[in-house]
Amino acid sequence: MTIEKRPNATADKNVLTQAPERAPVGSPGAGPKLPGPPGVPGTERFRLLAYVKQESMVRVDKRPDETVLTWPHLLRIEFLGAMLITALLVVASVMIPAPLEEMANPAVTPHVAKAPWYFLGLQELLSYFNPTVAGVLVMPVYLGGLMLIPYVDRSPFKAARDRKMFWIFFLCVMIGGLIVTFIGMFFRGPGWNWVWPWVEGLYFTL
Amino acid sequence: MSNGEPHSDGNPVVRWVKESSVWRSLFRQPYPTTSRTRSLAVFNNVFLHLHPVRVKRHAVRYTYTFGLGGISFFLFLVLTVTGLYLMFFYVPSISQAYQDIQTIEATVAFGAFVRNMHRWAAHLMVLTVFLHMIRVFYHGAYKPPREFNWVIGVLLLFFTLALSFTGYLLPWDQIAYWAITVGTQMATYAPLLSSESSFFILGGVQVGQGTLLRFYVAHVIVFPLIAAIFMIVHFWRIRKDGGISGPV
Ligand code: HEM
Repeated sequence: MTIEKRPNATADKNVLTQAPERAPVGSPGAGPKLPGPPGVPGTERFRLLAYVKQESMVRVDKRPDETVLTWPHLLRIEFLGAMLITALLVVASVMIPAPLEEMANPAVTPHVAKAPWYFLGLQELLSYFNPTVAGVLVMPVYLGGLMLIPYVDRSPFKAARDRKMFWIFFLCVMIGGLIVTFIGMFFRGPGWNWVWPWVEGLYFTL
Repeated sequence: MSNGEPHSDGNPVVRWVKESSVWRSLFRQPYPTTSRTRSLAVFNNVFLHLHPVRVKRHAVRYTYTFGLGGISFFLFLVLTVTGLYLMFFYVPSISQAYQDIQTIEATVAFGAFVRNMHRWAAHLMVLTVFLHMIRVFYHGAYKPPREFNWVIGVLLLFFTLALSFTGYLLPWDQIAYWAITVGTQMATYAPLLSSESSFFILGGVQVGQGTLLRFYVAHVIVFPLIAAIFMIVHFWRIRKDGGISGPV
């Protein structure tokens, strides 16, 4: 079952964007008419256990072109997504064994000790800066900065094209994080010295 | 989808089952084929009613969310199930943990498979949560009224990392030991906090039995519980903020 394209997309779009965002679902006025009585073809064996009058919660009568029914449209996507990820995980788990080295031994320091991959950007940064500064600052500034975003960016624009500067800035931070993480993952070897992974090999386990 | 023939099974046994009062107390309506029954199917189901009965049309476009939040949540569920299985065979003691992992790998039924899945799902979840955050930023979906849900999201990011990090120590092999040694050192560079925070995190002066037990408890109960609670709030807020943002 496919979702047909709306004939009058732009007009509808305006209606939607102007709708007040805070309006609670099913606020009075937006409420639908009562759902039709049972006895619709295909429901003959439906046994009525209880009939609860639901004026505003079940929005059966909402205009069909601005919303779609959760069943089947959204649930089908969620089901397929879950199946896809499951298949991916099953294949990965059959093909790639999780690493396990020798038992932990505090007396044997490995050539290079690396944090888990998502902290390798941080570990890389620590090798540039005074660790007391970097170690204390990076994580709180990163997480705190992220939390502050909605309170700092008060412009009414939402689309990325309408707030280019901020989007580019955010992307730079993300890509910068990606780069230092990649360096930490692939280009650091014994003594945290620079290595070329295709020459010296990988010093990295997931 | 279905052709309006929800349960017209010719088979008398199937019909007998479907007409029994047990079946009908479980499935209060036939397979939903009308708008009305499809709405009720969502509305009356404790799991499905996380969703509204209808969603914005643009919200089900794959390319709006790429399903990243949903995938992160699904991975969390996968991790819960696989993690529970591993718990039956694992003791958080420095003299036993490593052997337990070896036993899981070698003799436990599906042990290696489940361990692999737990690990790959964990790495994937860190990735999808980051990508989800970037998607949300791209759409400006942190703008009013969704500011607070973004903050909840950042907390979820933190707890996702914390879960992954605490789990990383549990195999008690060289990778685990030294990764956590390096990782916790980074956290304890703070000049005033150093000795206290290091003791708080490690349960000792270096990574050892105290650390393993601490990380285990955090990994299997404290952080999953907190993350689950924040996820509930996260989903609740999506509904209360009027569903998915947009269209942009
Ligand atoms: C465990 C981690 C997380 C889970 C399971 C999760 C789950 C979800 C889900 C299922 C949605 C619905 C839309 C979608 O799939 O994109 C959503 C939306 C949202 N998430 Fe998350 N999320 C997580 C982390 C985050 C993070 C790290 C942020 C931001 C820092 C965030 C901010 C938001 C916001 C603001 C929305 C509303 C988006 C909109 O209306 O378009 N979430 N989340």
